[in-house]
Amino acid sequence: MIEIKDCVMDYGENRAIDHVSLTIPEGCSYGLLGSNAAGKSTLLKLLGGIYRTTSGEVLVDGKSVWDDPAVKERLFFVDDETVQFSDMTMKDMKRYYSRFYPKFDSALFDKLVQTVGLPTERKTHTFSKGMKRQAVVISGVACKADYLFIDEAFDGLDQTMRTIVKNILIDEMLDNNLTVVFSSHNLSEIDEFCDRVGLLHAGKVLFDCELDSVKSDLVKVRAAFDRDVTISDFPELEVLHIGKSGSLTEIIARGGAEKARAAAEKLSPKLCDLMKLSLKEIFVYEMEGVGYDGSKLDE
Amino acid sequence: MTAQSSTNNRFLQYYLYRLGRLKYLMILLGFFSLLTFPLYSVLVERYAYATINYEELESGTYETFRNLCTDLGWKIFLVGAACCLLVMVLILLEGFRYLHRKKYVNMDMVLPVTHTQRFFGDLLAVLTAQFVPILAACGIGEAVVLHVRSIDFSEFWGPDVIPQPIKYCDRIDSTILLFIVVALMLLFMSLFVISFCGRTPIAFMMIAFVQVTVPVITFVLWFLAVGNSYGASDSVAVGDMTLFTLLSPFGYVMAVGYGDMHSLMNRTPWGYLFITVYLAALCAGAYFVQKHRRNERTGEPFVYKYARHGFTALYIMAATAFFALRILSPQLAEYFSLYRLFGGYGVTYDTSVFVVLWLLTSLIILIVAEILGGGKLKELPFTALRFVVTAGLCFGICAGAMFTEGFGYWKYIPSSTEADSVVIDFVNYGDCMSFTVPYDEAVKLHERILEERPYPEYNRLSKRIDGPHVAINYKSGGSNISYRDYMVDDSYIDSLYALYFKYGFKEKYVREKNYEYTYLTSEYRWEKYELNANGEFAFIYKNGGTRQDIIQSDVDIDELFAAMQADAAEVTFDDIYLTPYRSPEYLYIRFTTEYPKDPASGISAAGYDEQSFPVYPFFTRTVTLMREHGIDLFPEAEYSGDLAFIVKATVIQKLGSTLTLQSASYDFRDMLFNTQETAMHRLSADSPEFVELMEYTAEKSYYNEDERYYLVVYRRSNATDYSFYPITESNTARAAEIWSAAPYADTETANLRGGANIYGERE
Repeated sequence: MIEIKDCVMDYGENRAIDHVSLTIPEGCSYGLLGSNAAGKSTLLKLLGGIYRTTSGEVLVDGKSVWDDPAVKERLFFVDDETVQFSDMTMKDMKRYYSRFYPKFDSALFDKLVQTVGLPTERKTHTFSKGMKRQAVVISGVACKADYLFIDEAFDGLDQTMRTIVKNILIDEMLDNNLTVVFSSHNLSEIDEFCDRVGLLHAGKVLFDCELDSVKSDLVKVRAAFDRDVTISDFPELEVLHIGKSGSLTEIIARGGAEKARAAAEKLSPKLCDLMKLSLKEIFVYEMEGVGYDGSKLDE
Repeated sequence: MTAQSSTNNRFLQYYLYRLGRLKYLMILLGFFSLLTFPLYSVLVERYAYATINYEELESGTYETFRNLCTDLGWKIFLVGAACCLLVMVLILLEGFRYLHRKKYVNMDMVLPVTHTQRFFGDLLAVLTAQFVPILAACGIGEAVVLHVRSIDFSEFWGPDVIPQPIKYCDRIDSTILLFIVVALMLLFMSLFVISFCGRTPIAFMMIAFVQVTVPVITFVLWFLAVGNSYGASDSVAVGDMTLFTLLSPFGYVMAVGYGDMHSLMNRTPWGYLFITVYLAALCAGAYFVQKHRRNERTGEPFVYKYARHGFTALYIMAATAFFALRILSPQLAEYFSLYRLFGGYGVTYDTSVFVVLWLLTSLIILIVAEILGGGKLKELPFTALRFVVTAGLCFGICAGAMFTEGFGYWKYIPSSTEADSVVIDFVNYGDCMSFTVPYDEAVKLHERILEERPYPEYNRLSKRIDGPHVAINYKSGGSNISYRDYMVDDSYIDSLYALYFKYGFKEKYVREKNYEYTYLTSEYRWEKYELNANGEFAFIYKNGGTRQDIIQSDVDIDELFAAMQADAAEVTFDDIYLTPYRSPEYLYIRFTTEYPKDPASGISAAGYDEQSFPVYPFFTRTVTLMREHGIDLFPEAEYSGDLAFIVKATVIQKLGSTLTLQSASYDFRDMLFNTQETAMHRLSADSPEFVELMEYTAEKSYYNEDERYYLVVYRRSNATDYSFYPITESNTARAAEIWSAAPYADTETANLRGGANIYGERE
């Protein structure tokens, strides 16, 4: 389990991480969401033991990550940049990681390299962006780390490459209880891949919950009422938003689908339809109350 | 695997990985290191074989190799060494790349190693990559040197001679140690410096700047302190630097290679101990600075917020110290050619020009440093304040060092445990004496000088003038540890001469062989002379003859030296100065050897060395011995028939205290001032007045402005030669009486120098 306890990290005069507390359970696939400069990469580097907190702690199974090789052996950080590996071949990378990760699985490494079809003798600077990303993810998986941190996991990858990478990760999660924390500003990726999601904005965590529960809790009701309705017409629901589009009234409310339908039908609508919200819509409406513009997130 | 073995394995793996990253630079370093000791030692070896090969001697080929060793070969060595140092810096930067290259921070810092493992793993990898090629080159060079030392040179050089190739081997040996220490100092200073930097260009620049600024500050502060302290002299100022020098590689090179500073590293282990402690402190400093570094700041010019200020202050201090030397002490600055670049030798700019240059240079440095360091415009007031404080503080320290004469350094006298011998160098116009005295005697003299401080305005490096002066040279193991030089007044002269005659006079009668010139030449073969039992053939002749008029004596050399040493050991100050003066006779002893000599060295004839020894009339053993073996040094009635004058004059020209110039090229009147037309009166060398005045003569005659009386005696046998004797002060009245009674000698029309027509007469 990863615990981030009241972490603060400053870049000179700028506060990059502002009193962040999070708990990421084992085996979880955690999506760290946020726009540019939200602090996602910084938080991942704190998790990877690359940066040191200004205050607060980052613990993995109760032990501090910073300057502890025994803990770091169980972590693997995939940077969004791969230029530092540019003069290495796949063989070099295998040799490099096998030195430092005692559980490194050479057979798995070779198998994955073969599966995705990466050349072993060419230096990685000759690879495409997707191939470089695959190379590092494969290395991370082969290290048999318990925790994998990936910064901008699927950034720049085409759909095929994304699928391949995802499948590799999913297999590992299922087989070895791998915990993955990855950052993204792409909601659909988070939606597709993650169990939990945290929203980071200006160094603060605005939102941290399980995706399924938030999805099931929030519901959109589209109904045609014979009059204008207000929030007070729905006392049994936590209404986040009421809007009108022509003759249709759109209600976003927390409380679950059945409860929302029952509340709407009380007012005898001519038409009543329940719809699932997209993740973006969930974030837009959830964050409206705290002043965050969820439209910044990509879909 | 246990925890400890896991740790060890992790460290080993990390070290091997890092070493692998450095292999190409290591190979490059190996190439450059071959240009150093291996190449040079091979040249020396080739030269060595040329010096023992007849054909190469005759054809002159050996000279080609000698020139290679002294010129081109040495230059290649120096270039190779410089390239080695540069590559070593690159190895350091690559080994600690995550300090200054942002892209490697994530890659390297995420590895499961502790800071300690990372730091020492990188350091060990850097040391391996740097010193394996260097030590291999040193090893190759030393192996060749050992081979050269095993060569038998005796057939061509002689048993007591150090052959030139061996001297080159000595140079190689001393340079090996020097190079290794310089490399270590450069490594650890640079490691400490780059621990503060976040960008590669900044790291590189800081390494270079620190190597310049530290010695500038060190040396300038020292010169200001010591150079203006009472008793400083030019070689002293550098030679006294002690441990202060060893804060930079340049300073260490100066300590080992510059004159008397060689003593610093040779006489005690403290020099190398200091360096060891200093480098360990730098290493520890680097470790802790890196431990507390914020990795996210890699990419900024400086990782620590105030590091920029610290480095900037260092540069401003260096610029301030540099110009402070010229502003505070223009005469001292004249010693250094760098300052003369501003105006050329002999051209002196006003001090205000240097004040402007100082402020301008410091300001430019500040601006450049702020730009490179990422300074902001809003910090301008604080930056200006820092500049003023730093420059002012540094200038204040420089001025304080100067005006307090090295914060009291001028009073420093080494203790008896530090100094195992003391040499006095006493120069009194033409007399130059250098002799060893007991420590207590030296300190007594030294303390008197420090208490009385004669000529306080002159006795410092920047304001020296000519005059009688004494240097007190404290030594340890034969090397200098402190050298102080004082101009003294007349009240010191007698006591200094007394010291000389008590302790030093006899040293000149030590028998030495001088075989300084040992060049080989194909033109000469040894010629065997008849040698005595010691392998020498001695020609002995006395002063007054020419080298063609050699009087060969059969006196035993050892017996002669024993007699001279015994006589000299008994000489006192009174013997020389208070008894009637007689010129010494000089015995020239020529030691002939069987070794050939190179005429290019200046020795006019092959195969001998010559030394001269003054023998005084009171050297009774020596005079008796020589008389027994056919040479009468002091015949009776020496002056009978010679032409004499009594002269009243004031000595102006400082040509030696004895004033016994006996050369046709000198007219004693050139030495006299205020010689009135009637100053020179004639005496006869047979007259009782002359004999009486000779009893009143003494060697002592210092520069003074009073009129005195002198006897001048021209030899009957050679009228171009004369002796010149001062009459002692206590007998001035009697000399005045005799002078007044003696007839005036018209020397204006007489050609005393030619000697042939002295009044047209010859007695």
